[in-house]
Amino acid sequence: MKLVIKTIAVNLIVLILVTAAGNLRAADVLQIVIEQGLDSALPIAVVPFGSEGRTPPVDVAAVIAANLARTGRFSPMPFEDLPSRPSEFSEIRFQDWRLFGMEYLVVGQSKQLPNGEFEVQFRLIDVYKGKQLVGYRVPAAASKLRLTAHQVSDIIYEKLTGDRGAFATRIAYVTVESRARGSKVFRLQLSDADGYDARTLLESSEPLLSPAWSPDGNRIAYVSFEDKNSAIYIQDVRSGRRERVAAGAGINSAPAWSPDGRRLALTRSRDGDPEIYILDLSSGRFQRLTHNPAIDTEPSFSPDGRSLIFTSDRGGGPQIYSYDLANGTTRRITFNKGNYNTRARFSPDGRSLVLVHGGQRGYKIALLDLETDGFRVLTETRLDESPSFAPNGSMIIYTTTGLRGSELAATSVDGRVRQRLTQRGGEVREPAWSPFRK
Amino acid sequence: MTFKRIDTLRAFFYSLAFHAGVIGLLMVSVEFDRYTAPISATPSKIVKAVAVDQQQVDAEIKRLRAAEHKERRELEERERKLKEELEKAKQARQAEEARLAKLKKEREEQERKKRAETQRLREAEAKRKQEEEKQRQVEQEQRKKAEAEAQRAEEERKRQEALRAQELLDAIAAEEQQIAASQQDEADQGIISQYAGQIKAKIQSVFINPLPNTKLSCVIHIRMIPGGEVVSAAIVRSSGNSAFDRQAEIAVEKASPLPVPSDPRLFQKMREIDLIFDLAK
Repeated sequence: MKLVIKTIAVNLIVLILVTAAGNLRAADVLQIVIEQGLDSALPIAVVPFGSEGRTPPVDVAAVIAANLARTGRFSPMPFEDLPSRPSEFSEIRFQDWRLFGMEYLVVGQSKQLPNGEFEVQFRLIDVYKGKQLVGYRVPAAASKLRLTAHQVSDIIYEKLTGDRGAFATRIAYVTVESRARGSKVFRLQLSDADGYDARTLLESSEPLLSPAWSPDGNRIAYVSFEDKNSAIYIQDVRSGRRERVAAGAGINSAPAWSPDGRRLALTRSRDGDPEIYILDLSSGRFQRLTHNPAIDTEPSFSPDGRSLIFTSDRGGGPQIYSYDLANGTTRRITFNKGNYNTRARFSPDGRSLVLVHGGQRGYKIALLDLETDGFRVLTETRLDESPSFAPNGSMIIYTTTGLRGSELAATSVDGRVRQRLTQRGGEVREPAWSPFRK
Repeated sequence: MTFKRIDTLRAFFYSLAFHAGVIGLLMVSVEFDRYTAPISATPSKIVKAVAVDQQQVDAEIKRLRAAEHKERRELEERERKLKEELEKAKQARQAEEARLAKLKKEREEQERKKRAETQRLREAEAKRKQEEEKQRQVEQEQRKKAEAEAQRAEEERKRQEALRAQELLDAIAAEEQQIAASQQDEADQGIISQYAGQIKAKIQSVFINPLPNTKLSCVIHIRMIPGGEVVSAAIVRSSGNSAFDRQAEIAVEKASPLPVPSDPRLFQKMREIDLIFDLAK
């Protein structure tokens, strides 16, 4: 009898355990952790767009493919390798594209409208799900087709990376053209972010330097030597109207906008050596920030507007320092990163700095992670200068030295893809990437 | 039976009443005869015609007349007395009749009361019988019910007993199975983890992290069919970034079919997997 009771008790316990195990089954499903991914770009096929009526003056698909490729986050399939060229969803044979490992497909077509303008229609397709992720029909004048292509690129980029695209933005830079008898022509120019569609804002026989975009993208501050001495001007991009905001004895250089657009940080040497000042644009009053016998220059506001970074050789070689606007304290940022670090700019998220790093093998563009102090050299050429972040932080434009002097180049923020941007002769200096188009 | 007896009783009473009535009537008629007999026996005087002198005759006539007058007065007196007596007799008879009628009425009343009482008794008796019968039926029904209840309880008890016995057997079987399974499990686990490693490698070889500088993680629950083809992949926990989630999904699709054991028993243990995409920055 005792044995029976014992058996029942034991079996009851087993029963309870089995039941409990059943309840835990959901959590018992085999789990596999994927902790690594491929360090490669997304395979995408941008198929040349079909056209109805007049062939548009811009190859929209080519612009899109080039834009995506330049970010380093996409590897568009070369046109000549495409297995087919569908322009409609119904024409897509998904199996073919899966065979090539293509994850995404962009198809579209352009149509000439009765008024002579064009209508561009495109679809972004998830090949493995066999469904459209996004699709639009956009009317565009022939002269705006490049912008349309950039806007389409932005939509695709944002959909596939989760980050905002920065293709429909512009860059400002200075070109230098050498003329006969040693004379030169300096031009302040504006182009699409891919370097196309350049137009001149200002032309001068004296040097132009350091263009800087206002946060709203409507104005550009720059340095001009037109008065034989350096002065800082602010010019309205649309109207061309300009205003001199800083001039006088010594150097007036390196303008940088505060995030609210009401102040300008700059370098002046009226008191002897170059020091960092802040100019209040509404009152025209200057406030000196640094007091140091060494050179202090190239200021740049942090995105939160609470501090400035600048270059100073107070420690011997040029290094990056930070000035706290709340309490006026200065601290060095670059330690153990070589003997030469200059012209730093904040990334849009404020977490890292891009700067020019000088070493035994020349000057290169490098990225400093402010949280981890991780330091990464992004370029491999020898005379790389003037880095500027894209407003989405995904890319950096800079100048590098080519056969015809300094050229415009772009690198993805991970250094994976670097590309020289097109230009029509002459040197290019100090590119500045615009904010997002409002 | 009972009713018959009651009928007989009633007949007896009727008969008794009837005889009493007849006897009464007979007594009345006897008395009536005794009073009427003198009236019918009154004799009439016959006059004999003989020639006599007138005076005599007149005296005689006068005497005769006086005699006749006297006789007539006597007769009238007698007649009057007779009438009185007759009247008295009549009144007496009427009184007697009234008495008899009253008696009869009383008897009838008694009779009626007796009948009503009998009826009442009879009905009461019937009612009592009926109620007895009803009570008997109710009792019988209750008894039957109780018996059925008892039987059902007994059956339920037996059923429960059988059930408990079966449960015990099942539990024992489950326990045995559990022991066997746990031994098998250890062996299986080794094989499964080998395949899990292969699945991980295959997915990692095709997964492109679209945001390598951001720490993201998502969980995809997949179901496979034998052979390893992924038939469903659902994001059960999103990274919050649709691009990352989508790339994880595409990686699963691209890697399908995944390496799985061909042994159906082993496959069963890994036909559903939670893939945790958790990339170190």
